[in-house]
Amino acid sequence: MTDHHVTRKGFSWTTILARAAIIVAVLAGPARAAATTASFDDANRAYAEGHYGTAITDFESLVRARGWSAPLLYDLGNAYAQAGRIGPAVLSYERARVLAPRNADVAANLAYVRAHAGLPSHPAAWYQIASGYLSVTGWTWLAVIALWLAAASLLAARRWHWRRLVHVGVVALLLGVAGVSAIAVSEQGLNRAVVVANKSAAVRVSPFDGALSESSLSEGEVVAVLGRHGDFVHVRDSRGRAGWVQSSTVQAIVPRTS
Amino acid sequence: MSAMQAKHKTMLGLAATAWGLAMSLVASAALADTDANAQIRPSRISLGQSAELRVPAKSGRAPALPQVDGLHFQQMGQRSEMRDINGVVSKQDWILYRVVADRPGKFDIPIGPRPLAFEVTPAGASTASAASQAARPSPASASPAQRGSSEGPLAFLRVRLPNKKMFIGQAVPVTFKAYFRAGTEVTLAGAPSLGASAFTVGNLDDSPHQSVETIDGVPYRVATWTGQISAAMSGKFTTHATLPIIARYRVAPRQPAADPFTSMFDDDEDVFSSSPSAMLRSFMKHSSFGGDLDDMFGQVREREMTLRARAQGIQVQPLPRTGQPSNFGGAVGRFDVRTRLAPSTGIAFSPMTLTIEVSGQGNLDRVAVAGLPASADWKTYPPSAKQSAPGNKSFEQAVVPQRGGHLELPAISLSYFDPEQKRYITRSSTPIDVEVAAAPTGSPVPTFAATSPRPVSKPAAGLRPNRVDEGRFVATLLPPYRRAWFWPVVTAPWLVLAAGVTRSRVRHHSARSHRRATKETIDRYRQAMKGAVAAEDTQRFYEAAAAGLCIRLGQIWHMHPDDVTAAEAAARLGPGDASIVAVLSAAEQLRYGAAVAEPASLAGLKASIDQRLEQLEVRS
Repeated sequence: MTDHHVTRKGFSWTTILARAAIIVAVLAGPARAAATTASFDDANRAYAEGHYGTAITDFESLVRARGWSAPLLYDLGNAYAQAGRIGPAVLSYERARVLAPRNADVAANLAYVRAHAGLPSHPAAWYQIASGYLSVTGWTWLAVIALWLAAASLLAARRWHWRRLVHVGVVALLLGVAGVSAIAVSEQGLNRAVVVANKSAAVRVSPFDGALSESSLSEGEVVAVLGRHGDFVHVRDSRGRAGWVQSSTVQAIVPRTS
Repeated sequence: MSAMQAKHKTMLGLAATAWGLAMSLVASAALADTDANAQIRPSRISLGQSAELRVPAKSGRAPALPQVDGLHFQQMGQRSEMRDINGVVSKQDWILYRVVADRPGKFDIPIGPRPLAFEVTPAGASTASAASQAARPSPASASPAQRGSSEGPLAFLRVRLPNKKMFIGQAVPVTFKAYFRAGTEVTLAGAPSLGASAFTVGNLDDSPHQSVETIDGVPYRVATWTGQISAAMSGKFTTHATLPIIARYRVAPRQPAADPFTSMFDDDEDVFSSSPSAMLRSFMKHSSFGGDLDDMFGQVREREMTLRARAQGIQVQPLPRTGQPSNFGGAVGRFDVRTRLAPSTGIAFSPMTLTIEVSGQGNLDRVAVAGLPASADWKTYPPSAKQSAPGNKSFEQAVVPQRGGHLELPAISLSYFDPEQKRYITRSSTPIDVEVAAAPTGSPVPTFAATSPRPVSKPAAGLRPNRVDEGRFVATLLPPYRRAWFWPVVTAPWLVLAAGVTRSRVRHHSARSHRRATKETIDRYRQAMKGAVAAEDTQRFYEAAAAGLCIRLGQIWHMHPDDVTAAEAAARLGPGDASIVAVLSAAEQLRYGAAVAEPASLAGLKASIDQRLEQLEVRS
């Protein structure tokens, strides 16, 4: 009996604490948002007034304070582009595309900056275009929900012999498979990095400082990350050439520890 | 021929010798003339400036200088020059004087064989240059001629405040005037200070205006600063204006007390500065400037001092509460507000610059405007103050039209307190009509979200405009399946479902096994009943029938078969099951050794119990 009471009491306190945390979060949320909204406005005002360095600093501080958002990364990319820093501009646009892959402005400004910098562009395959219909996060949740629905429908159809649920389950299963396929395609794009080195980055044949430099990558070029060794990253550019570059000269589009 | 040539050579030689002698005499005469003449440079100065007079020394001593009305001579030092004229090296010693004038005019300095012409022009002609040299040392110590007749202080400070009553925040002009008697060598060590913490002094001149004034017949060089003071709190206050200066003076090497100020003030600067008039009179009498000419070649020393002005009382009144507009920001004075928009025509979502100009008289530091508030037609950013001309303060505000068409930029209001009328006044600018073109069709409004606001900036150099909506923030760009929480969250429901199904299946299987075992047991008792009927063994029949019924009823009632009694059955069963209660009661009686009545027909009773057991099996 005593144990039973302790259990009920503990559950009750847990519930109270959880509800209190929710209330605090709800109350603190708008204040925090209001406090940082001013900074976002300040950054946009600095951009509008042509103070791109200030705008970059403000946008970056927002990223550090609140995280990532597609408009924020897009604006940051614009500020970098106006400041003439092609690499960080492309990086910001690519990151914005991770969150908002179908946004026309991100695509337009990314294409403009790439063309302005003389960077090579390659048309995307149909499956890449299709996978860009949703973000990776969107595809993930679509797949999870679809597979859950498929499983639940098929189980329910078997349990209660309701044939219509079989159709629902099949459709959901197809959606789930499509989602998983899109994730697989998008997954390739997540292992990419952007050259942020000023002007260019030397590509070496091996991951050592004294290694022969066989070519160079232009600032803003997007490369696939194949591996890492010490302070070097093994990359492959859009022309299929692979080599090692200093890790400080490239930045992952999707940071592992973001 | 040779005799003639020899004669000519002799004549030429004599002529050359004579020319050489003549030139030597001319040169000697010229040298003697030069040595004897004094020089003054420049020969023309403005009042307040000084000239250098060079007088040749005789036997290493300075010659006596004539007294010239309106001019003062101040010995500066000695200079020696070595000259080589036709191989003859000579040394010339000069005594240097600085010449200052009391008044403009033309002067003849009777020194040497010819008087030196010297002209002093009015000070106004050289005010600008004098002001620019304000920080330079003033003319040094007074000349011997002046020392005997000089009266009044060497330096003092005056503060002029036209208003002794003012309001908080009101800007009142103030004038600091530092007077230095002609001949004192003083360097300004800083700007004047009002000496009252309740006031702030603004717009003070970086370089003072310099002029010459004559007070009681004594010429003074005057450094003038103008500015504004403003009170930060109400009450009665007293000013203690000060001005730091550096005085330079010479110390005669033969005087026992090398530093005249040491004996005068015991190194107590406040004593010096507490009574400037008396102190400077004492300074005049005791300093080395009052010594002989021999003392002038001593060491130059500097001393930091502070001039203090006479204390003045000021009363500061608080601003009235009544009638204070809601948008009053603390501006005190008389102002007007104007606005202008650049460019004059705009493009939707393209930022424009609204300039708010506030001009007038008063404390512009306290003038602040809220700017244009945001509206459906205009997105606005807070205004920022820009550099302004004196008497003018401007603010720039970025405004963004939110649609195309004919828009009106509303008036900007500014409320201030007029200290002369002693009331609050609100001025408004004229609204501005502006034509705004629609956004370029090639640059559609971005659609991050269906309810997102429109962009703030115009695409520059081919870039599409910025977004003003923050969007939804995420902590990481990593997809969910790469995060630690994802797989437990996704698989947990599956695991729970699987566990539930398994448990259900286990329980279902267990229940079915239990039912099967129960049925087998009951069947065995029914067989026993059948055998008892055949053997007509009543006691065995009742025992088997009661055991079978208890198992079945216990299964239905979720009780142990041993807990099923005749009384429990009577309470739970209806009158239609009286035979079952009777069987259970008979079995209990037999179990305790009591006799029971023989049934009419064991076979009939068995059939009845079998039927009831089958019915109960369906319920279970």
